[in-house]
Amino acid sequence: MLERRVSPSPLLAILSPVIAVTLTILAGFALFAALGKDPVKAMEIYFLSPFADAYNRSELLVKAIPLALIGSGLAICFRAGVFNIGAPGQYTLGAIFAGGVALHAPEGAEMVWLLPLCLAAGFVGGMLWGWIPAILRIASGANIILVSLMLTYVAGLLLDWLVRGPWADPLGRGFPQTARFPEGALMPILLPGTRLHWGLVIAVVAALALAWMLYRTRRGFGIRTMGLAPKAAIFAGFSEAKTITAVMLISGGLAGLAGAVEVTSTIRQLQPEIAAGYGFAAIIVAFLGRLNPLGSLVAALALAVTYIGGENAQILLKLPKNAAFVFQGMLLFFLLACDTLIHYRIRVRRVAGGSA
Amino acid sequence: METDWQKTDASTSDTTLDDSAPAGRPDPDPIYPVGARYGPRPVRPNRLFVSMGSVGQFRPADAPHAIRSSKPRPPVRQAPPVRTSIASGTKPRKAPVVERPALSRPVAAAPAIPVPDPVPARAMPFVDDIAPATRADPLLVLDGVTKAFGDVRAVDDVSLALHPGEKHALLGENGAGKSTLVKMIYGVLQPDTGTIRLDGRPARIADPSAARGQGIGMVFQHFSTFEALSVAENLAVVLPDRSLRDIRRDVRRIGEEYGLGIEPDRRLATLSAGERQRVEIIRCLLQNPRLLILDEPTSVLTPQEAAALFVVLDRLAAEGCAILYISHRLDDVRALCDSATVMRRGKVVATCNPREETAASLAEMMIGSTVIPPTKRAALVGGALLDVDGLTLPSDGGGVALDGITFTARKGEILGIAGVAGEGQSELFAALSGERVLRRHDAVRVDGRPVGRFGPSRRRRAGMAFAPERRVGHSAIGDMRLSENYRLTHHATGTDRKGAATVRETYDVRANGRDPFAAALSGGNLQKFVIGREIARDPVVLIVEQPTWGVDAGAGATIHDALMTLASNGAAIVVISQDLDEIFALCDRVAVLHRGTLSEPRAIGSVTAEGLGLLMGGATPHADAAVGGF
Repeated sequence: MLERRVSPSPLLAILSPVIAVTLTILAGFALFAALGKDPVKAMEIYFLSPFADAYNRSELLVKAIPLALIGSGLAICFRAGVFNIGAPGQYTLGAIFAGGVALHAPEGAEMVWLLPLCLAAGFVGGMLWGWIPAILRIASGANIILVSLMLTYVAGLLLDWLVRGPWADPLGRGFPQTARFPEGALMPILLPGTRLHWGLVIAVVAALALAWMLYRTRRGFGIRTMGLAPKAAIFAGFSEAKTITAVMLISGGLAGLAGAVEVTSTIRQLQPEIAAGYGFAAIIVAFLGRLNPLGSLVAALALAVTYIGGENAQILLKLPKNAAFVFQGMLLFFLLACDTLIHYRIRVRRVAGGSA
Repeated sequence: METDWQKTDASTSDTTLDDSAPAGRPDPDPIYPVGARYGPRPVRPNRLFVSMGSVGQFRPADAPHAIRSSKPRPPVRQAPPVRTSIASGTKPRKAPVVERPALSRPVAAAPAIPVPDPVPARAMPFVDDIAPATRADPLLVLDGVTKAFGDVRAVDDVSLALHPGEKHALLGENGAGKSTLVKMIYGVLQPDTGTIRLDGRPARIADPSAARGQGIGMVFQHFSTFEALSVAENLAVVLPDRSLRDIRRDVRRIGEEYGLGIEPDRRLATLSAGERQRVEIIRCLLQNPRLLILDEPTSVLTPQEAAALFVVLDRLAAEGCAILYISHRLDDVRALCDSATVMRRGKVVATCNPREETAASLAEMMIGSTVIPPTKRAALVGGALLDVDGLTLPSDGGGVALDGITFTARKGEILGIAGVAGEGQSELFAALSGERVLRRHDAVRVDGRPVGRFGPSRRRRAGMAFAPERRVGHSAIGDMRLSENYRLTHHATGTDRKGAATVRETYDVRANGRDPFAAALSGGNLQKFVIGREIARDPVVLIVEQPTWGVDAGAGATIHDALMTLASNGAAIVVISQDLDEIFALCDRVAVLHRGTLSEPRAIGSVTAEGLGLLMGGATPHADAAVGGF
């Protein structure tokens, strides 16, 4: 049976992700064995191939960038007890706004400001999309989880309509996509020869700034308080409405920024499929990173490993695509289960009447 | 030796009773004749029954037979003119278990209120001259029961015996292990070691329904009920094998029989706390209990309601039902119970006859050291610091609406706001703290400056400080360290890095570690921290709700002292409390909150507990005399 600890165990707070990963690996063994694959080989592909060479390593970082950006924003949001699960929608809106700016920039104009403008537009787009659930929640008590999730589908359909309709590439021969972005709207490459771009710097800076905000400012204190005990936070003088608005704007804005970074770096145009699934995977990132923005950086890398490893396994082992998702799901499951150990200890229940 | 005591018993038969005790009844239990043992005060026996390690040694629970039943109420009850009104109306049924003569007992009728002054027990006032019941076998025996949570032994080798018809008090500070102990009796928890015997046979009480099946009923402090359903429907939920019609009939029958009148078709939402408790008691009675456990039952009642409850419990006991009464209200225990087990840190430290003790001696047993009650300070009252003028606040759905609340709190004064639970206390607190903002800015003025539309931070800047009733999750956050908890109410006015440490030192807040999590502190220590934190703001006006709720006596004294010192230093303090003892101990003036309206504040010297009780129950004060001189 489980027994509540007097105070949370600091050791297990660190160990819990390690235990979770270990258990995920063990369960993965069973999974791959059941699928008729060699588990050792599968694990090798999953966990080692992403680090095998410079290309794989840079791809790892490329994958981790949007995850880290969204994840650190969500960490703040979840810390406040606000469950924004509409990051994919905010990501999509960010991509749309950035794409809109990139596509409608006057040709031949001064290009230096175009990329920053695209990114800023993406940030604003995500903020607006995140603001809607906040407004509805404050005005009418609407459920943030539901509203933000449903806005995800609205955003996806909006993008779909744009790339097939008004923004479709006139030379695209009916393909649902926009024209390629002008050169000035593209993210410069950080490491020549790879796809690694300056988004990495943005993600790291964002995580540092958020961590500073969360632990060093009064606003951050209010956010943490609100998540731990809303009544106490209000008693302390923090407004619930302001806190909800702030975290939804921050997390929405960062998801939008991630969308903008992604379309200006790896995709370079708008199309119906812009990997908005990062927005859901980032929920795992936020929790894996212990709802700490800096933890999200590490967690994003860990999740990127499963992405790259999963892709490699699909190719090399002919694994079904969903196996990678099952693997991710297991990771989150074990992580949350292990978190219990921070606050509780396992105790073998003695039968009444035994010796104490 | 024992027989000597017994003789003393017989020689001091109480002539104030009109019992017709038959001759030739069995002798009272000679082993534990508490009533006669010690003679008059001030010889205090409190440490004589230390270490009740095993039942065989002292047989503590046998004691009540020496002193049980049908005594006149102790002086604390102050039973007023209507002494026998209820007794005459209730014809006690034939006791089913205990062979006991039918009693026409002078049952204390309302309003009989324990007043806070510690009246020393009369010398041997309750000598049992009548039917100390037969030497019936104990109904319930606990033998060496132990329950540990982690490293803490919440209940440590406790032994206890309860006889049919016995009214036994379980006394102890918060965290002494009382609740854990009764949870084991009621099947909510299982003991690690030790045995529980019912009717002499070892009993395994796997869960509460098993407990009910064996005739154990429990009235909880907080009732779990469905607001939207009627009384009968609520009872039907827990009694699935009975038809609604039967239940309705039984509710009426029990209501008549015990004076627990409740209309079975009323919706729960319309019932007061006292009426809800009646429903709970009826629920237990429907299951024909042989043992009724009550956990702090009077905390939600007015003094009058409490007195009425005692009448019911007396009747039940007279019919042979054993009562296990958990309380920290010493006066209640002295009024009701004929035996008591005192627990401290999980262990039984004493067994006594509470009527033989004073409130002070019981408190001493509970905490293991003498409590010096804070001396009343001479109030040097100055001008108004807090003006509340026609404060009105709509209900936020389910809550109580506040209607035209008007009062002032003056410099150097402690104003008490009394009332039973759920009459608008938390709403009033929220309106004063700014957690709920008011529409009219000058409905609340601090030192003349309106703050009604301000939130908590701006009100704090105006010189206010607040300490709500609930600690964890309201005034403090369990998962935050004390330093962060200090920051909670100081961030708006500039926080002091060493503030938390200073508070810990000043108010003797005990906890392990340099900066522990608030959750690791005991209730009393956390409350000392919270009150100290607010006083550290050096407030002009302090609003506290239930400052010593669920706090041990030592911490309670520290907190009361701190509040009085703050008032002496020129602050105005408003104490919202359901505890009349606390109001009388602390306050200079008192007003009563009832259904969201506040009575006119009156000087504490001009009111009595009875008078306040009437207001708490909703009576309108017709004249000053109605409140003051009841």
